[in-house]
Amino acid sequence: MHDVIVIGAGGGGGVVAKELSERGLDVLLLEGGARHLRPQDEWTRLDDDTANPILGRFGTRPADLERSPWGREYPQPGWVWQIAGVGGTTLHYFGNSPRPMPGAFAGYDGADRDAYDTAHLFPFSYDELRPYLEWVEATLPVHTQEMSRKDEMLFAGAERLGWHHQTTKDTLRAGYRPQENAILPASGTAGTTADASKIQYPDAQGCTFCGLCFQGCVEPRKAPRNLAARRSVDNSYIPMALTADRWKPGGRAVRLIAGAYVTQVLHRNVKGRATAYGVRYRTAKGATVDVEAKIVVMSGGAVETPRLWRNSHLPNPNDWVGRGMTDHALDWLTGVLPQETGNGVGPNSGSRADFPGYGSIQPVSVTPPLQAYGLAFSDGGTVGAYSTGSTVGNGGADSVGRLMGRELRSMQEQHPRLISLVTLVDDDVQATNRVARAKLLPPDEHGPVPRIEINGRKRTPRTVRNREFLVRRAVEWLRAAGATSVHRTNFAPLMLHVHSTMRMGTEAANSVVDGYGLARFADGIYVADNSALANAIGGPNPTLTTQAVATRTAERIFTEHFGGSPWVRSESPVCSIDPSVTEAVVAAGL
Amino acid sequence: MPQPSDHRHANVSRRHFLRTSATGVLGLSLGVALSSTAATTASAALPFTTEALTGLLAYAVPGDDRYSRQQQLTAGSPGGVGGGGTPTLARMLDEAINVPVPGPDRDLPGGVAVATLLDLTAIQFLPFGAAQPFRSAFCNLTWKRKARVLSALENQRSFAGTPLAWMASELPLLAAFVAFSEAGSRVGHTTTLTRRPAGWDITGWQGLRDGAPERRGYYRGRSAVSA
Repeated sequence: MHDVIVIGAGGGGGVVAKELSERGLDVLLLEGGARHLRPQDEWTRLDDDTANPILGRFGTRPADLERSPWGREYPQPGWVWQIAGVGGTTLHYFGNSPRPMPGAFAGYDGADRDAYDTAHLFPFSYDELRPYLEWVEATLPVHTQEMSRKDEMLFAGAERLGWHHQTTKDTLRAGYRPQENAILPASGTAGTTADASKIQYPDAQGCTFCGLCFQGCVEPRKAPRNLAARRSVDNSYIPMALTADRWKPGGRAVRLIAGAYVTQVLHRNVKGRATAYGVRYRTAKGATVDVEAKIVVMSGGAVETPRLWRNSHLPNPNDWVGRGMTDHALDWLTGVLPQETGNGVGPNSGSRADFPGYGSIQPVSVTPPLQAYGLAFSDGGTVGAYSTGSTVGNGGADSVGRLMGRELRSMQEQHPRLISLVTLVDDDVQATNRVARAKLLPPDEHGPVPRIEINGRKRTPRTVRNREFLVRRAVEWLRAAGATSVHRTNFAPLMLHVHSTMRMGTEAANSVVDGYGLARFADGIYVADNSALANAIGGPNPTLTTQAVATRTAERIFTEHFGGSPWVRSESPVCSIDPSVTEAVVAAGL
Repeated sequence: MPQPSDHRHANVSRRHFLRTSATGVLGLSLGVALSSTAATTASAALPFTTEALTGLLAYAVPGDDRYSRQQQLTAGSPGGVGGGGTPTLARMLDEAINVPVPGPDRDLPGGVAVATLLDLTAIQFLPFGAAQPFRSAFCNLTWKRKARVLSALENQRSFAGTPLAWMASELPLLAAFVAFSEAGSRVGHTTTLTRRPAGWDITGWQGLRDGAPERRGYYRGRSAVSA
């Protein structure tokens, strides 16, 4: 019997596995997707091979690329863009690691305290979480992002608008700033040349400004895995977890099995309570394996975790499993500038603006196919052709809707001169937005498949207000940065950030886990991924917050179930690029 | 200021729509609900399917090809069709609608169902006596009439609450992605390309790179912030 089984080696599960392996626990980490052991050899970074929404290797799919992706049922327009595999969705994240808005937490008493989703606050204070945020920031590590051209333009625009320059990690008021990114700063030749022969490790270290964060970070070439520039979990926490016995006295290496898709949390009735004692997983070859543990941590993501809960027939007395999904109600604004902006090169997002109570705005610098996808992903019909009944207006932009045909081609011809901004809305928890069980698609080899129910046109008035507010600020920002025209896509729900489907909360009536991620209605089960977040965290990108909450959950597991002592307030973290970790990673052949 | 024009009902009666597309809609509805053990053919191997999906790529990004000329919206260089992404788009639809559609003697994959739906819906928008160089009715339409087909699908109320609503909204943007990708050029899961993708030429994209001379220093010289 293992001490702990962690289901899912993504942004949350990787953190729990590393933290508990560092404490010497026997941790089994099960990942349903691919291992990605040699990305410099395996990943092409070509969009069609990597980021194709249906077929790409970065999708919810098995490791064998000739096999079909795993099905999800969508009864309306929309798309959840997640990744199965070691690293999870951090494989394509931008490394953006802003802290959450303090107003999303209990006990906040700022003047704007009523501006948030006050019915669904985190059940602890922001001050309580801060040490865990700092722990993760030091582990990854997180740094202030160096500028690329588009950031220079946006900062100049923000200055023209008279916006406040934020110089703290905590967001205390509305303002703009360079991103705090989990990306190693460029040094040496990195970011100075496109000559591949000159930007190999160790001559180049940190970010090489290649622009392909979304296609998987393999830079700089020849760097040890834990020194890859972008600090996705496969480059940071997982290498640490797999070598914990080498760099930490008393540490114990995690056992990782990829291609192990958990189909059941095994549980029995103990004194009237469902009590977990292990999991059942299916291997890539179809074998079924049962393994036991004292504690089970569910970290399969905001879609798979509620699916697994349901498929395991675990109790759901308040019917909140899968409900309350938040997604930041994204929208996409594209400005055309007179000069080249460096679109598609440099970190995918190097700057941001935050508006407490409303959400955030940040640039998204992507390759042509993804730019086209962003220009087409509209809920509002096609410009110059037809409407689909959306009542969303232009928000101050010059046009709104899907670009197709001549309009799409014309915009794409200007790709080098574009800056795109995405709005990250502090959207409300709504019970009707949820992960349910499929009604039409038949079960796959892992059981009943998830159905994503979200109606982009039935958001709460506060969510709609926030979205329109941010769109107007984004349009202003683009124009101030020099844009001669601005287009609004009016996204259908494009769920790049998806959270709170197993939400923690102050009340048992509308939450699934408590403030430590412990399941309310079953014993021996914790949840540690985006699904455990109480709400949309005020709008900022969720990964850092999820990782901090997961760290807090790991600490709780260690103290409550294994007689250990808490460490976050009493120790200093080992950084994932510490020479001791590098030495361990190289020695382990990772 | 351009706005989506209101062709919500596309001058098509609900009865007319249902009559002309009932077979496809029914087949697709069943397709997502049922599993089948009959043989399945990949969409990319079926000529009429590839023709309709190629017409969709021309709709997304016009170029200098005959599909674009037929739709009376062209460009001076290759567009969505020139990129050669039709087989990829067909496979995407096969996988996106990943339960075969039951057919009379063999099951039909999702791409076939989509092509059928496009063509059946297109029939009603085809002017009497119009030239029909393609077997696919969708491909014989002008760009504006193709848009009416897609409008009819996206605004089809009977699709509401079903994966058909999702599929109707996804078609244009999946085509847009494919048109600008390396779908028609890459060799397996390698970085080898048989030719420079058309989408790269349209956008001036330089392609894969390991780095770029893009560092501009820290804003106001501040390389770190306080807590």
